[in-house]
Amino acid sequence: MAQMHMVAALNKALDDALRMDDRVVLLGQDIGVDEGVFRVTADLLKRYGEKRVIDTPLAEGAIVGGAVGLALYGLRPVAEIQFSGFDYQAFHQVEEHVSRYRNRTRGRFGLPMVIRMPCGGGIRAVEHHSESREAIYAHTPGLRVVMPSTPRNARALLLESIRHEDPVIFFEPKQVYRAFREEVPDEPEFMPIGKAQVVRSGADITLISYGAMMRATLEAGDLLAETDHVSVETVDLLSMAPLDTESIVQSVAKTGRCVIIHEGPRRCGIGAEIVARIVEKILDHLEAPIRRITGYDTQFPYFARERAYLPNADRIAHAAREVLAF
Amino acid sequence: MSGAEHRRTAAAFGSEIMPRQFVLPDLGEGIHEAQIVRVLVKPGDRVDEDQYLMEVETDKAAVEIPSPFRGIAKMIHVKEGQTVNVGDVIVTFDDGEDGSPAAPAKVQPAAKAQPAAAKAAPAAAPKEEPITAPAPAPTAVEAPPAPVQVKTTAVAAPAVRKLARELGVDLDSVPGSGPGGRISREDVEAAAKGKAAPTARPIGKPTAPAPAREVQPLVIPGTPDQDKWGPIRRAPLAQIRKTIAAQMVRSAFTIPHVTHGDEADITELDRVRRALNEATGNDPKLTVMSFLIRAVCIALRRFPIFNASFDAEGEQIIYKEYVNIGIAVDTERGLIVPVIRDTDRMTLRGIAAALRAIADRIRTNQFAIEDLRGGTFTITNVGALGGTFSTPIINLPEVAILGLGRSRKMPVFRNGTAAEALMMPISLSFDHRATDGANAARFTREIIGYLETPTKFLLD
Repeated sequence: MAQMHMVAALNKALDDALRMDDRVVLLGQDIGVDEGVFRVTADLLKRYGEKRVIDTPLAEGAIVGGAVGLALYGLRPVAEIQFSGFDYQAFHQVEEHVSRYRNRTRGRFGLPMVIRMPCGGGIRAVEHHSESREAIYAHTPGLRVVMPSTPRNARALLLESIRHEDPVIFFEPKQVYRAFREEVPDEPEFMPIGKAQVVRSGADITLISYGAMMRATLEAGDLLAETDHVSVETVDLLSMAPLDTESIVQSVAKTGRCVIIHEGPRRCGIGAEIVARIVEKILDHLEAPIRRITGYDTQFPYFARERAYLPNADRIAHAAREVLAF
Repeated sequence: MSGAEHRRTAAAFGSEIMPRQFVLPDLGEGIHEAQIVRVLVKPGDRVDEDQYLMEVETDKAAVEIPSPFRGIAKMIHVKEGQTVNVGDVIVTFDDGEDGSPAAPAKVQPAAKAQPAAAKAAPAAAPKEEPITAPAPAPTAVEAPPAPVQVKTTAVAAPAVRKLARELGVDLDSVPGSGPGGRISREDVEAAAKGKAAPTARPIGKPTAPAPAREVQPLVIPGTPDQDKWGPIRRAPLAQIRKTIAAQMVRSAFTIPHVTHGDEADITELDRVRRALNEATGNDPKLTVMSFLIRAVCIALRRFPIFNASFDAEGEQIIYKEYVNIGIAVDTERGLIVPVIRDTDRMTLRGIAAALRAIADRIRTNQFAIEDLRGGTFTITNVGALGGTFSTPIINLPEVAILGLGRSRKMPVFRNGTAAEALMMPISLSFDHRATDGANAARFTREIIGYLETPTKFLLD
């Protein structure tokens, strides 16, 4: 067991995977000699050599397209896109091939590959470096989309994603990269894709979030419990696709009230999908309208204003109080 | 094409009902409208299943539309040359002893169809959408669909609606206590407890808890049943019981009640009363109650807060400039509160006569709902049956209620010597939102002042 932040936990997962399965290869820009822009791939080139840790040109389409070929020929590529905002060059590969191989071959061939992408704001980055566009990928059939929220679940989810037989989009909330440390066991752990976790159980209201926003959500939960004496249940989605409808519905059926929090824009976001599923399944259990606290329907602001854009504990608690008072 | 949507919904509920409407089926290929080329049936024609009704032309082909069922084409809603949208009613059928709609109409390409017609062939009406509908007023193509279900206009969260369904409460009859009249869980529960209360403005606005009947029934009503500990009987609530229950719950859990207790020495009053009755030959018979009512009316003039309503939502006190005293009475059916109108303008005699009229009507069970409405202050007298102090529950929307106990002879001290006195216990419950204990004490004392010194009545 060791205390580590998310970057170290992800590095540990990649190290585990390269060690345990020699079909695993990493590819991406600056991941070898320079050890990754956030140093997630630190030491891996030294340890596993340049046939397993491959530096690529600045060409996202080639990175993802190359990974498709490697996966088809039996390897397990883990591609890194330096920032999720750069993936649109590769989106043709993602939409036209990555998401479709299983369906195109009527189930016979999958692409066991992972695309890792740092996402989200909160580190005062420049344009194209702060977006949260998980909804685009979750909207695309054939993709699994996951986002961890802590060092430990980041490592377990990445290991599971690498051993998965179908492609996984692995979003890394870079605001959490070095935000805090957590015990991560030495032994490899795996977390199922498509399962949410109830991280705090309560009776009055359900807060649903994922990724970096889990921290603000948990903080809001503490605030509500302490100052308002509200019994708060908090669900960490971990997986945006498939969405764990059962866990969501179970929790909201119990509390009758729900606030959904995410960093990405509200319109057609993950929150909208969650609301729809709740309404479809358990309308009769709702005591109040469901609220969404999300990024705004504008481009992510330049860094001086990013605090105003990102949901925080006060915004969440305020919405929760309105829902509770309905 | 929302009209079509409506009709399909209606059809789903009422396809068995005659007459039936036939709508232009979905012709496939994304075609939304068609022009009527030829109408092949006249009103009154008997039409067989699959017989062609009309020939229409779409962007792609000319097609003939067969009838989905057998019957009489009562009304043709379209004319040749007219453009019709998919889902519009084109023919209304009457009766047809064979009511069962055939398989959804197959649209056949017309004989003279161009090659493109072949493509339109698979365009059968969608299977899952019945193409018949009840025809409430099949007068125009755009006739609004039949209201299939009466939808509630009540404002309530889904969970509250579910609760109402479970408890059998009609939301439209529940007054909502939330913002914008929104109905809360509590509103529904209260309505369920009093069921009819919200709709039928209750007969008998109950007040104090019903005094126990003197004679306990020997046979317990209800149907026999069993619980864990032994045999039980279940008796459904009578309507008046439900009404009382709802009103009591509403009052007890809305109003912060405080009951103020005091006693009146009515020795002198009783003497005066007897003397007057002797003089008038009991016409009408003056009771202590008559005097008490008179005293209350006079006191209310000085303490108008007790003749008022507390409007929590409007954040105001509504003072009533009239005084209608309600008298809670125990009847065969249960507790009711007949109201004496403009009591403050009545003489003692008038009050006594009104009380007697109430007693008469109780005997004959002749109360109109009007007689039980509009009270501003209630008096409940359990004294006839016994008891001293009680905690009466206020009769909403009033703010106070006065309960009387049984007058009894008590030893008192007058100028240092023990004497016998006829003492009457008085319990005044008041709404502590509207006023405070000091005021209640003063108000009660004002009443007692008249009762203890009856000559004061001469002044007012």
